[in-house]
Amino acid sequence: MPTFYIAPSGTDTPPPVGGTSTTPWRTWAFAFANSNPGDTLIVQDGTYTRAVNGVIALAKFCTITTPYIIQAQNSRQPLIQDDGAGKIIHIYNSSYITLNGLRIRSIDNSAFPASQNLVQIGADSVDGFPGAVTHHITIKNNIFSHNNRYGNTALLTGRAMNDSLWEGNEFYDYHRHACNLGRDSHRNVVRLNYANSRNRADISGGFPSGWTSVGDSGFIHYTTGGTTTAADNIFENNISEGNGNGFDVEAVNGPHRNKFVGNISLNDQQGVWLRARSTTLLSGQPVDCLLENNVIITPAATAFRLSGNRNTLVKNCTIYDGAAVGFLADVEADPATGTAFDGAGTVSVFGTNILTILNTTGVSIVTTHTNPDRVIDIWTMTNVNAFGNTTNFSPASSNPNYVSPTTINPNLGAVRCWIPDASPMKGIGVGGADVGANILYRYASVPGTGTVTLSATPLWDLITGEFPHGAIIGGVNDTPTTSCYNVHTRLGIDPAQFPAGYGGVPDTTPPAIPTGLTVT
Amino acid sequence: MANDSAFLDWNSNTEPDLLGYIIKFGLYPGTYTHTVGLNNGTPNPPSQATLTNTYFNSDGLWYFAVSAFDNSSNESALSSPVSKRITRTQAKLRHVR
Repeated sequence: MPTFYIAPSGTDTPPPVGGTSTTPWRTWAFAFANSNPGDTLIVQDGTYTRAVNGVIALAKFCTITTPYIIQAQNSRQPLIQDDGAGKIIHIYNSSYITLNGLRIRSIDNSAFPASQNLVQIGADSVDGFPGAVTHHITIKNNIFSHNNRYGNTALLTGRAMNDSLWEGNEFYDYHRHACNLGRDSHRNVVRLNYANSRNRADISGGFPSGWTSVGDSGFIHYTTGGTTTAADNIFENNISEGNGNGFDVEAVNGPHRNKFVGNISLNDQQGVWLRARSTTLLSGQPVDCLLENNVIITPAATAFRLSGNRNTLVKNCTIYDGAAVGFLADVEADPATGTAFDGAGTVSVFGTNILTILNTTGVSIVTTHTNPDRVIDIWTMTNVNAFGNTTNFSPASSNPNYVSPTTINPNLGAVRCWIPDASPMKGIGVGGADVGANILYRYASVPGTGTVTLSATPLWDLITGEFPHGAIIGGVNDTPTTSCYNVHTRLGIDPAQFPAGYGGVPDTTPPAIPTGLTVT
Repeated sequence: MANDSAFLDWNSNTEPDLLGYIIKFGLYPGTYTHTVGLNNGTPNPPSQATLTNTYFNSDGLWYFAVSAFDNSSNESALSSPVSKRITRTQAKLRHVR
């Protein structure tokens, strides 16, 4: 398969003279026109601009055996510098394309207040491509930052995109959404990404966001405008830090059957919020969603909120030290009409093995309301341990919908992301499982399946405790308080606290010698 | 405790992966010919045990020590030994006859 090269100051000369490592191309359009499915385009170091190099507007249908790969020569050294005009990268009408190792950033530009995403994968009628489907797109190991705050702009958006993988990317400095899985998206996997808005506030005269002093969301599934019910997407092992909503679903047309597994929210305003956006339609509710092994740490507002969901299952999650309600199930109202956002009318939530501690309220299920449509119709909470909250259970734990509720000190010590070996939460959950989350191994779900797969590969570095991350670039992702490379230190990941035998490393340390032996 | 049995007690270990203890005993200090394992299947195994007369096959001064083991089969070194003179009831009865 041919390999071609592009450089910021290259020359657009046709092959075989042009497109080599010594005579690289200059513009994206020329490169795409002179390369084919199965080729690799190596992106050399330097800064690429719209004025000199154009935009990465790519439409190529490739196959699993002839993928098209756009790859940094040196990871994260090429910078794609946008001028705020929007969509500096747009991959549409495409399949089996990989974008690997770039940095992409924009600037605030009041001349472009339109809703243009910095990077968009997929397109639909709004973009002028009705009926288009983009699939099997891999976006990995890139750094996205600095959206144009004058517009309603996300850093990375998928739209009418199926069976794709977004993995190992980092997102910084945005006032709206970092990673947005948009409408008409199916069977995608969003994995091992890190998003931190770094307190990027709204700009005067710019687009007003939902959370004015931080980015609106780290990871959002926002399905407004869809023509199909988005379904079967998986968010796994992502970390949101310092955002408005860590993991947010706005269900206008789906999601159904979505899974959130092994994710972490750290110091967000709200950790997880799955919310209905229809007063009449089932497609406007989160339906049959699964949230398992997620951890919410020190949120400033509600930690874990399910609004207007139907048949959502929450398993083995840990909610730690929130400033408001830990676990909330409720039904919102349409602010325009006051009508309940309860979709097709039945709202149901089921929780098992949840650990909720040190919040104002551990568990709050809205069971009474002046509007009868704004209560949870069907719910059970099984083997939930609520400890150290100002109010542990609301309604009270005597409500028959609780099964085996407990108020036991879990003795987590400094550990947040798994249940320590010595914790009384070990093995007391449904089926002998722990109560609370265990985020220790990597999920490895396959795009296109909608099925969650947990691997035996340790998530955390066995020696340093680090979360998996790509190259560290000075001045970009090396800020010690707000970067991915050392988020493990803020999460309290201490290799000395790993469970015995974690990662297959033999435990060769003997117990201490017993003392105080007496005989009578 | 009767002279034909021994009650042993020690401080609990605190390792999270602790699985149990092994009592080792014999008639000579440092040479332990008998062992008894203690493991109740929880992270908090008992730190005391009673050895009844059936554990002892002769009278004399018996020496005892304890080690701890974890769920990776790592075993600690032995504790400082203690001793007790054991006089088996059954042996006394035979002597009377």
